[in-house]
Amino acid sequence: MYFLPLLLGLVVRALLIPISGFKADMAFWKGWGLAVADKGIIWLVNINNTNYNYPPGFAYILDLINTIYKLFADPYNISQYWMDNNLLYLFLFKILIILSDIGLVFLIIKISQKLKSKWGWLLAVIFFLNPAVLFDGVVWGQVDQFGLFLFLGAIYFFVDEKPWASSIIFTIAWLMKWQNILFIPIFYLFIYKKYSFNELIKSIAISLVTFAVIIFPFIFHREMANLFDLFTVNSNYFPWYSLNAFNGWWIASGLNGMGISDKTLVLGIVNAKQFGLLLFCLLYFIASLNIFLAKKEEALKQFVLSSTLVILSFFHLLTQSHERYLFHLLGFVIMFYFFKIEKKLMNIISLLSAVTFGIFFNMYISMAWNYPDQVYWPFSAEVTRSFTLFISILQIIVFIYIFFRYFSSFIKKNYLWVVAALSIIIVVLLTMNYGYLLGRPISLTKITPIDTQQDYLKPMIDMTVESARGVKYWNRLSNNYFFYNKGIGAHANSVISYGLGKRFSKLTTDFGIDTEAGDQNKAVFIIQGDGRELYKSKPKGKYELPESISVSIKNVNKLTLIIKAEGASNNGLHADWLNPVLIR
Amino acid sequence: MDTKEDFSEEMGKKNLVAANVVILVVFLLVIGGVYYFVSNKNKGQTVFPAGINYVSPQGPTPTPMYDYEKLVQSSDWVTYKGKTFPYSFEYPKELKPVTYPNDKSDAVAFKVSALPPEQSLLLTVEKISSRDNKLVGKPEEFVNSYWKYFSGLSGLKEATTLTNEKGLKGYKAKYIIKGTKATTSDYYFFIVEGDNDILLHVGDIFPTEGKAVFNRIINSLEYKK
Repeated sequence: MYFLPLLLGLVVRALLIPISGFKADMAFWKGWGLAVADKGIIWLVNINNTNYNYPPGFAYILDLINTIYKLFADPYNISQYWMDNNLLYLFLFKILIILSDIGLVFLIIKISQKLKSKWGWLLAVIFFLNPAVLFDGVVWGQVDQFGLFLFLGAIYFFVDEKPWASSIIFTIAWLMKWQNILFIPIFYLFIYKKYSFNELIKSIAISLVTFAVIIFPFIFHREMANLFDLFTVNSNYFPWYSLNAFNGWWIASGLNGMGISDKTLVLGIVNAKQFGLLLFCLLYFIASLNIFLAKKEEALKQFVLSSTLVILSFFHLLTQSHERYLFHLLGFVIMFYFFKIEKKLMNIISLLSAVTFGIFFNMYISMAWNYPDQVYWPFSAEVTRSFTLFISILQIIVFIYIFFRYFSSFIKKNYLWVVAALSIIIVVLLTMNYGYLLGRPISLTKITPIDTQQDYLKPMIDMTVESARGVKYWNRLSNNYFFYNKGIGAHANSVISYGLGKRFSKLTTDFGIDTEAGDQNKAVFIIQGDGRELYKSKPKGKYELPESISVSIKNVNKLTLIIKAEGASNNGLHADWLNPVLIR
Repeated sequence: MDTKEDFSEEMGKKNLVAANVVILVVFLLVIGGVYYFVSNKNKGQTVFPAGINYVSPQGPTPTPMYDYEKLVQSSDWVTYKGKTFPYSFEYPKELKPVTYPNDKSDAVAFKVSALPPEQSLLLTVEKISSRDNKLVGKPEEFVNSYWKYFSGLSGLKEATTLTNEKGLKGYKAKYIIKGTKATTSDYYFFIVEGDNDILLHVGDIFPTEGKAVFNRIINSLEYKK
């Protein structure tokens, strides 16, 4: 009886292939695919060539797609290849997604059979026909199911008692889709807990070999620095509260997650990104503890549960979260039934329905905002904004529900551990805010700007601007050889903004042209509060002494420091904000 | 007793499950129908990836920053003179030279593409001894082995001799980019009479449209003590 709905799922997928989907993502796949096929993976990953920010393993998939594409059509025919309705490309790319969906159906059934659980087929069908799965993959053109497929593959091999195979698949998983990197610590913790220390060493060795095989071109061409850049490039790629992820940060941003920088101060001098990271660490600790303290025979069950907590915390607690980052939950909730985390099938289906509703509409509305021609969405912007509030609340309720339903008894039993972890987080927060709470002056250099723009290099903390060129150019801040320990080394024209959240009443600072500057040009120093000019200096040249000022910034939310070249040229204008200090 | 209850409970569940499946199927058909409709409506448009990206073997095709055709024919060219070394060349006034304080190589850059000026150096004074003392006075050998000083290059593709309109002699070379079959743009090295430790290194930083401007700059290059 299940073959019919599975067939239906396949037919619907085939029908949806011609949809252009999220056009920006599809254009990236095409651009990166063309680059890797023409120039190789090393060239692709170099930040001077492309903005590739996916894991290295995924480049091989794109390479394969483009190699096949070349057999049937000309990728250099611009009017054909780059068309958003290029059916051949859409077909080749979406086949990967459809195969992942089929693979997931297979894994759901196999895991249920291995664990001697009922309803494997039914849950597999529900997954295959799940509107959120369809929307993310074959409509949008994203590859979250590919990442989930590999992760569940690793779980399958654990069920099959083959940790070595799990290690291989898991390493491939996070080298294909970044979200899987989140599970690395708990993955190896689980192996240690379930098996032994020796098995852990063996698994790490196998993972390292798999890693080395996948990144071999980088080792061979001695381009590991490029690979390192790739691993870190996403850490601040979109520095906003929320990238259309309807979560707590979305609500905190006033339903405009990409309108507020996550460097805005939210708790003393702790910014949103740091605060989210601390909360995430706390929940990650609980997830790890849940595995560490589990009985051996229950370890895999707790690993699945902990993985769910990790993905929920990732989506809800960290800033910069994308609308699709809960996708793994669609597979994990199904696993709850097989691992007897939740014994009632109806509860699973109800939970899955709530999760699906949230994920589907989160993605659907994002699509409607970005590509209204791709969806039917008749509501006004105001109605849609209100709707996002309800979706955010629903998703937060699901998060809280899962946390309390499945972790409350664990926390009760081990509350001392949790209290200890919570205390550490509080101590960290207090340490970060120590000076602020005591009303002491706070160096502006301790606060990360929400935005910086500069014509040459980038603003440097406690160093001259030239230091940005590398270690050989490191230089202390100074004016006419009078040295400063703290400050910002900038270059005209420069605009540096801070989200202070009306926390401070005064800014005191020195400023001037640095000793290392050229002597032919002059610059003016401007301080703005919420776009209003609070101070403007006279033009300053190289041999002029630094000036010292104190400016009221009471009720200022956004503080902006501007250095502007006076005249046509900004050549050699290395200009510094020296010892800038905020006073409460 | 328990088994019977379980069975009837399971039957109830089955009905609910069936209802769920029916709802899902109807939902899917509606979504599928809407999407089929949308896909038929979509006439197609060209979409290039945002940011720095690759769209063809000729490289990205952004809009040129200048009207190079006008620039090359313009008489509004001015002379740039080196700050440390007595080299000079002409360039269109519209382009703004960028230089760096205390720069031993006396480099000059122009912002002519998406790259920042420090990655678009037009001219630098190469001190041969700073790379390899043994090659002082052997410019040809230096040009042939220049790739060895850069981890991103793997060999010499070709090197030819040339003389510009001001009589400066030198070499034009292309190098192979490591890990690919691709080559660099042309690198020019001009010999300075009377100083066998330096070469004027000129890079072709201009886009294809600006080739004529670049050639005019190259041909105006002089070195007079």
